[in-house]
Amino acid sequence: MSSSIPDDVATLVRSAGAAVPPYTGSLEQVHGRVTARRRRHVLVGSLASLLAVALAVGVPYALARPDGPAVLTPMPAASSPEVVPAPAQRLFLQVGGFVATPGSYPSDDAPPATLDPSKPNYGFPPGSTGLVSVGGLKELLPDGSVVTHPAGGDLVRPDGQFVTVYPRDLAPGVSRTDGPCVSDLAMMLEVRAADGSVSVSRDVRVMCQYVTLVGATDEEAYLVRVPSDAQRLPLPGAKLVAHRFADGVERDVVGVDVLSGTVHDLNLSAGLAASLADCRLVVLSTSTGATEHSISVSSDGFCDRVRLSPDGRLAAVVETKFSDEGREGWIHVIDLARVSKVLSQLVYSSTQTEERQRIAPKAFAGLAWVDDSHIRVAYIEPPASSEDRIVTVDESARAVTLHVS
Amino acid sequence: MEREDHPARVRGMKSVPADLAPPVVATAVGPSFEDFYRAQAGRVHRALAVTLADADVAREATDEAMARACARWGRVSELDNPGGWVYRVGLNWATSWWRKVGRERPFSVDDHGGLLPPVEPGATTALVALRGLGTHHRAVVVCRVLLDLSVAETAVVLAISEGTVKSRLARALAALRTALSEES
Repeated sequence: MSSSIPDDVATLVRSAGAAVPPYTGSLEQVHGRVTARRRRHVLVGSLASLLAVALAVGVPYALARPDGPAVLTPMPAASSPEVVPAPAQRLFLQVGGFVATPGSYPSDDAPPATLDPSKPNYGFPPGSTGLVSVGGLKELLPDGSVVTHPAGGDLVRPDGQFVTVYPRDLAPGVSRTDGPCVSDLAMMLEVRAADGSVSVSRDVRVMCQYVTLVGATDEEAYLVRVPSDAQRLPLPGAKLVAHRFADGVERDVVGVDVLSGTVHDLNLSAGLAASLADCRLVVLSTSTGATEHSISVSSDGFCDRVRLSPDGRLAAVVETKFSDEGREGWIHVIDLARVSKVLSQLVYSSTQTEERQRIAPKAFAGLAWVDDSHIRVAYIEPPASSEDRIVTVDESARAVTLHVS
Repeated sequence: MEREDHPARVRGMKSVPADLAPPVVATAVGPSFEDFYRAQAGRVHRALAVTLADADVAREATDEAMARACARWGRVSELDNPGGWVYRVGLNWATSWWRKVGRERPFSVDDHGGLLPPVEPGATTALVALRGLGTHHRAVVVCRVLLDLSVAETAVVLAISEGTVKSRLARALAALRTALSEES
């Protein structure tokens, strides 16, 4: 039995390693975790007692109420329709899928490459459990229903057309060293109508650069371009560009080297670009490139979504906290001008026991402002009957709307 | 329940590749945690991301493992291979978390998530094969290739026998070689 590594396999694995996005953690974050762990060990007893009392008097959300004047209006999405004003921002559900097939962990059975809605269990073996999203881009409507946009895409232009950037292998089956500088690869920018017809299809790849679609108007797509050799913050050469749909002409908008390799939310009317690294929120001016705000939202969780209010005054950030006790999903709303947290609200929680029983964990799925003072948060909470089957995003989406005055 | 992250379990490690070893600093008490973190965090994250096929979970696992290393740096710093210890703690944390949530094998619904960013399409059969390996098999390959560990060192880091390392490696290599030959 040979234990040496063939060169081609070693190259393959190293290429996969080289393709991993840069590590964005920080020493500050690690120290925060250490502090939180010590604090948690000390406080776990008293916190459990406090939680029990709160549950007993029927005010579970009171624990999370901030000092500010926020008011919670919980609204279940799929089960009972919401009645909310026409939203300023559309709420798309962006959530990954996962399926556990029968057999003890680990298993070497590869999952199906694509989901097949025409087959039982979407093509997975009988007895499989998990969460899948099929049919296209999902949107949670104001009435609480989930609609599927078959055209797919990453985001929607104001005129309702869908925009996406995706990789296309121009030499399928040809062996070559993978990585940002790989040959015969296109990054296709496409604009699709609701019926799936494509009006723009263009390769926007620049060799040895990462490219990410972060926003769009009816005339331009906004892309973040990061040179592949930029490994640590600040990322030299990282920039936000506007790519004209009509002819592909690009103009530099602003350098984004202080952001974490992408723009998590782009508010063109307010002239702001927001990004998260750990749970630090960084907001740039898209006109000057100046860092308008750099705010530590939390010290012990995982933050991956931010949405700026239409007027650019507030930023909503979701945070998932993992602990030995389970997981919690929180939303924080930051008043950018005052650099103060005006809302810090528990949206969902699950214990370890619940997570063992429920194959698909609760998780955030989307974030959108209804207006300048109402933020709507979508999350996944599979139905109680999901222990022994594959469930869909459509039946698992829930939402709450929060008011920030 | 087995304590998988106890540093005593990796004390038998023999040698450490130069690029995995903590940086040499001019103090009598060994490297600080801060020096270790700066030297190793990116490397551990990369190894975990390939092993777990999920860069986000790898980030979380790296941070958690580094926090545990920081909390007990006095003991961890005495190990022959603190980087290997942190890798294994991160791997154990992620495995435990996936077990809790039933997430045995993540995959991307729309082919945009998972291990590789969009510019790395994972289009080759070999990369798909790498992602299709079980986590334990990927861990052996990653230890050997990305962490440059020997079979014996891999066995210590993963707390398995050398025979298990060799058998997992052989199986993983066979799958990858088959995929590579299909590509060519």
